[in-house]
This record gives sequence, C-alpha cells and structure tokens, in this order.
Amino acid sequence: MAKTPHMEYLDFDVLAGIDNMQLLAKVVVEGFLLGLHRSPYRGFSVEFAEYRQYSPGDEIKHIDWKVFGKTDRYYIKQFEEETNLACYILLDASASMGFKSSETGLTKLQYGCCLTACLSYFMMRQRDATGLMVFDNQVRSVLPPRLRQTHMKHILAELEGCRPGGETDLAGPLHHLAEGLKRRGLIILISDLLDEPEKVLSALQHFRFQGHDIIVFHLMDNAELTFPYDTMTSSPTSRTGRRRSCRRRESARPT
Amino acid sequence: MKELRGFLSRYEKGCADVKADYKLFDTAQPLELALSEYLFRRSRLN
Repeated sequence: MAKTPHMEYLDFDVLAGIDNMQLLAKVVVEGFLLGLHRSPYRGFSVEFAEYRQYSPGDEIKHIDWKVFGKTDRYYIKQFEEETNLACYILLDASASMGFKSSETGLTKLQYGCCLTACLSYFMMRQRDATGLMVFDNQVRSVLPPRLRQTHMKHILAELEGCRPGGETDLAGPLHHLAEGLKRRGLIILISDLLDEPEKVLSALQHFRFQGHDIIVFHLMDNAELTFPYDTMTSSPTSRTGRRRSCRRRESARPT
Repeated sequence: MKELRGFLSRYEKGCADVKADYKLFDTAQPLELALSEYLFRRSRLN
C-alpha cells in the first residue's frame, strides 16, 4: 500500500510494538493541560497531597468539614496535579549522521528520523506537546512544541527534507536552546555524539540545571561498534571532510 | 576498540552524572525492539 505524503519515516510496526507503553517524566514538569506527569502545582487528581489552612479568598466548597469537626479549624484538602509536558526532540543532522556500512541498511540520520517520527507520534498520543529542533553545527530549524493534529504533519515534512551535512558541534545549539526554554519539560537528544564529551555533557548539564528531564539516544552504525577493518585505507571523515587512514577488512565496504 | 569503549563509557558515565537517561542504538538493530526495550526498562525504573 502506498504511503500518504510525509509518512516515509512513520513506521507502524514500531508504533504497534510500543502501543501499550508510556514514557513518563522522572522529574516534575510544567505543562498546560491535564496529563500523565507530576506537576509542581496543586490540582484535582485522585492523589492526596496535603492540607492547607483556609485563608480568605479560598472557595468554601473545598473546606474539609470532617477535619473542621475534629480540630475546630478550617483546612483545605489539596491534591497532586497531573499535567502534560513539552517534549523537545533534538536531532543531529551533521555529515557524520549520513554514514552507513551496508548497502541495504539505514544511515544514522534515517534511523534517527524514524525514531523521531515514532517518538513524536507516541508522545502526542499521550497528550504531550512535541517539538523538533534539527541542527548540525548550528540550528537548522525549530518547530516549537504543539499538540495539534496538523503539527505531526509539519514534523514529518521537516524530517523528509532533512539531509546530512555540516560539521558536528552539539554544544552550541544545545546551549542556544537551553537558554530559550522557560518551562521544565523533556529533552530527547538523538545524535551519534561525535564531539568532545566534556562539551556535550556540559550542555546537558545546562538542561539539567533548568530542571528538565533528559534522554540521550546515541546512534552508532554496526561497523562503528565492531570496527571490522584490518587493512590500511584512507577515506574522508564525514565530520570534517579531511582524509584519515584506518584499517579496512576486505569484506566491509562502507558507503 | 579500547578507545571506542572508552568513548562510549565516558558518555554513559557522564549522562549518569547529570541524571540523564542514556541508550545506545545500533542502527543494525530493529528500531521497534530497541525502543520498546528502552521504554520497558524506563517504566520499570519509574
């Protein structure tokens, strides 16, 4: 069956596999609708939080009259608030993400695009607003978190137009985004992380300092993990374009 | 290989230090398996 426009990366087998699962924030987050995640504010879920002494201005209907009967004081019963969250998916589209070791396999960027599309659909299905930032050594495009049906189409269209290119510089775009975020949410970084770990971790620390929950999906090609090279060869590095020598096994022919 | 292992463990340990979840994906592995395994592990830890 032919896929409808902009559906190239939305894999329904993946969605079926994670259909009955949830992705909950580990930290309290600040959303704007009722959702699945813990909020720092008090609201009206079923989870009791605490009693607070009545003060003028509070609604009389919220007074707990049983406590008043026992203590002769007015108390308001408060409940935990459960909220949705803003999820930011940060997709690295630098040149190194265009690498694949087999003719039939996916490049790291294609794999990352599938992951982004499926996660976006999954998060929006659990009523979490999802946004996308594509970057290489600078920010290429930003789609702010939204919860509308049409937003999914915008994300898929953005992914379809995504091509690998540019040097890897994770820290700059990450710091840039961290400075612009006002509400605590979920940050999902999808990258091959071919950058200095100290700089990347410092950028992640920036998000953490602001109270965000962070997930890092580190994408590596199988040849990068097993390194099946045993004769000398040289090839341009996908990160900088400069030539580098390495050992290559005859059976392995990276594209 | 030793350098690669060092590179991966630096990220894994660094992410743990900043309390970030870290998941390594091999692009040869089917996405549905890798993602469902991660979501299952995270839901158990929650």
